[in-house]
Amino acid sequence: MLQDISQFVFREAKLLDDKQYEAWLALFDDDGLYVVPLTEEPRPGRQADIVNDNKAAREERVHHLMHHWFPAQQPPSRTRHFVSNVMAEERDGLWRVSTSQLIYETRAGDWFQVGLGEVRPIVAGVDYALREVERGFRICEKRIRLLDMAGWQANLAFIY
Amino acid sequence: MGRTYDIDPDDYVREKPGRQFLVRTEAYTDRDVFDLEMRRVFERTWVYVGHETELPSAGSFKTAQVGRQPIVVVRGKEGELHAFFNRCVHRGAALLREAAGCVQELRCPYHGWVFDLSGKTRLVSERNDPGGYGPDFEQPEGLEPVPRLGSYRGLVFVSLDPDIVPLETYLGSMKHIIDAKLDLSPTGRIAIASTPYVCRYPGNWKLQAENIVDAYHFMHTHGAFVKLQAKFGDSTGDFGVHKGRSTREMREQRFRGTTRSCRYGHGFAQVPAADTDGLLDGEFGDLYRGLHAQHGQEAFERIAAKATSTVFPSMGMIHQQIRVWRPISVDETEVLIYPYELEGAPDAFNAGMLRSQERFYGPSGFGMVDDTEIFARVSQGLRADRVEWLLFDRGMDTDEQTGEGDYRGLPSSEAPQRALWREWRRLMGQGA
Repeated sequence: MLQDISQFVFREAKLLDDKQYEAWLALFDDDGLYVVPLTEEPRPGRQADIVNDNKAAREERVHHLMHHWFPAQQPPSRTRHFVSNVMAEERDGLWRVSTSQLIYETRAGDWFQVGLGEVRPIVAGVDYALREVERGFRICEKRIRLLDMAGWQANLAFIY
Repeated sequence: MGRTYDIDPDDYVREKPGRQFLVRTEAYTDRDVFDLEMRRVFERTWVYVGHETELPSAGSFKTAQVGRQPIVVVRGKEGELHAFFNRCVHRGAALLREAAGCVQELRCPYHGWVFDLSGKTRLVSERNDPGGYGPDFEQPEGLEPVPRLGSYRGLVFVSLDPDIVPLETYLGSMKHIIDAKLDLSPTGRIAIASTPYVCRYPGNWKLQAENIVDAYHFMHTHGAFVKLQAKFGDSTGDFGVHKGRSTREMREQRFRGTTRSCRYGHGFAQVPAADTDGLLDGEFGDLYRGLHAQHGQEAFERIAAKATSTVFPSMGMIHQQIRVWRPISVDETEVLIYPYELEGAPDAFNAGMLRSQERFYGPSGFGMVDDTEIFARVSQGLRADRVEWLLFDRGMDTDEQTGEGDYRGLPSSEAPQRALWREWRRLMGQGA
């Protein structure tokens, strides 16, 4: 089972690296959440997150990336995910998966283009709650806990 | 200080009343100009350092920067606020490093000197030990206080200038914007509960100060967001913040209202609520009807209006947030975005507002990242300093002077940006 779960998580990362966003959307349950918190302290309703996407918000995010020209993704980000330390346990009918991820991101550019051409590392613990379905899994929740969530964030206008 | 460097600010800001307004490239790019700003602008203005709800009880503290000066604001035993330079008077270690927290006293970790919450020296450690301090030692009374501290409706400001005008005089007509924003709360109070978004951009601090009150850029820099809004605005919890469904409606809505260039450098752009009847009958009708009953029709329209504003030099209020920008160097700036809650508003209202902050202002949102990317582009463009000037003339011929030293402009006028530069020119021209 751990191997199946690992393969699922690796595939999710590859879909993002390959910008296969429609296929990425299909990995989620209809009531699934994609969350990037600003703090470890849970304060429901009182704390802004970096991302707190339900289905409609995920679809909007993907639509924006796929169909719009906007400054923050001109040129667009390229990413490469490294996924490791995959551990899983079953609880309350869901697979609780914890991973470590090192995500490199860059936007093409030369030294003269302010802010472009640098490869930036994003270091995070990425946790999943997965529901087992026929022929695989669906994501109930993907939660990205940025190592530097307490610090300043650069342009994160892509899906990571 | 022995500084010999000086500038003639009229070389940097050129105004021909009603006709021309130019700002020199080097006002954004020259390191010496930046160094001078840290003294002449940031040490001579009221600088926002936090909101009272961030300092809830005795011992609560918040650290802040005034230009390059690290300071700390502390709530004392009787509930009063104190502001100090954040350094031990002995050998200079910063006393508190966290953004915020709560302490019983201020204890220097270097040699153990202790100061009470009002800054008074409580203990010089091992004072009389061999090699300690003799009877003639002039023990410092306490931490060095920041000369002025003031607050307006919970917004706390400090000034390093002991002779500065009172805070309310300084805020001037900006008070009406602060009032309107805070009066959206049934109790007239706001609270900061969420940790802030923090971002940085490669560019001068004044780019943020200009941009937050720039009605003109929205349909361009945020053109893709406008399209997104037309398609998804009802489903993703925009919360009426960017009202107007079609691009045409959005444009019409954006170009209503007024702009203002205030005395002392503040500016704002105000747009009347698109549909006050819709607010009164909508999901949060109870909230709005209560405000209407409390304040009356005329004031209600002011409260329901949308405003974006900048309090010179480094604080802004836009949407349901307080924004602070901190100059790091001539070409690097940090921006802190503090969403706030309206006390007494329904939980669902405040929670919904947080979603709309994520959607537009967060580092993975659809708005702020485009602004900071544009700032990087401006920084790249300004390397072309063979082009002398940036143009701030827009709407100048239709700006009208008001009695209190303000200029009132039409909706897409660059009046708010001119406010900043007029005050910058005045302060930068005042030597040592």
